Amino acid sequence: MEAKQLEDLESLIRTHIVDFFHHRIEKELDLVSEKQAKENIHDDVYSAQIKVESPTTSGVLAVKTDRRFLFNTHPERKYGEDLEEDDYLDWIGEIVNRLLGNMKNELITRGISTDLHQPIARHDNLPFEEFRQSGHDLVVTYVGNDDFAIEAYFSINIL
Amino acid sequence: MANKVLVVDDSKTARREIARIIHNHGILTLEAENGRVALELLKEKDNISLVFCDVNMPEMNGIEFLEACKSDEKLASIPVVMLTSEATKDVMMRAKKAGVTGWIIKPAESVTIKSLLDKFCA
Repeated sequence: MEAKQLEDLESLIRTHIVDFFHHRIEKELDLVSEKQAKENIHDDVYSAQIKVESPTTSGVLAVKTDRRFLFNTHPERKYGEDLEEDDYLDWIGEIVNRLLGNMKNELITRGISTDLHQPIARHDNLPFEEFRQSGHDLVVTYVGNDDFAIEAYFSINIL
Repeated sequence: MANKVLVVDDSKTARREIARIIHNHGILTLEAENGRVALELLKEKDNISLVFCDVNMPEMNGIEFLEACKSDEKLASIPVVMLTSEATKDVMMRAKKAGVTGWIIKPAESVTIKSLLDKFCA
C-alpha cells in the first residue's frame, strides 16, 4: 500500500475514534504525539483486537488504553454504577467492534472488505507489534487530550 | 401480562445501554447474549412484543436469528429491529429480505427507541 493510502487510513481511524468518544468525555479527543499518548496511558492497560478478514483482505484492528479512560467513557458511569473487571473488558471489546463496524462502509470504498469477527479483549500491555502479521502494512494512530489517550493499530494486507 | 422487549447483544455494556433507555419508558426487558439464546427465550415467553438485536455475535449472529425467527410461524409476527454498528448494503439487504422491521446504528438515540416502543409496545 502506498504511503498516501496509509495516511488516509490513519486519518479515517483517527476520525472515527474522535467521533466515537464525542460527548462521551468532557474534553474532546484529537491527534496527539506518541510521547503524549504513552504518558497518558497509565499502568493499568487494556487492549482489544478484532480480525479484519475476507477473501481479499486480512489484518487486525487493535486499540489500547487504560482503565481510567474506560471508566470515564463507560455508558454506565453517568448512572453511578460500579464497574467490574468484566465491564472494562466488555467495553474495550465493544469499542473496537463498533469502530470497525462504523468504518466498514468507508473501508469497502478503499478496497478493504471485511466480515466482522468477535473482538478479543485483554487486561495487559501487550506491545502492538505482537499483533503485526508478516507482510502487512501498518497504520498507528494516537488520539487523546490532556488527561487520556487511546492508541489504535491497524495491520492490513490486501491480497 | 405486561409487554416485554428482548435485547440481544453479546456485549453486556451494549445490552445495559439499551435496556436502560427502555426501562426509562416503563417497559421491562429480557436480555440474551446471542441469537441462539434469544430464539430460546422467544419460544419460552409469549409476551415479547419487540426485539432489538445486534448483528455481529457468536454462536448465532443477528441475521441468522432474524431468519430463524421469521421462518417460525409462531414467532414471525414479532418485530425485530437490528441495532448494530454496521450498515453495509449486503447485510442490510439480507435482513430486509428476511423481514427486518428497522435498522438502528449504535449508539441508539433515546427518541428513536421511544418511537419504536410507542409503536410496538403501546
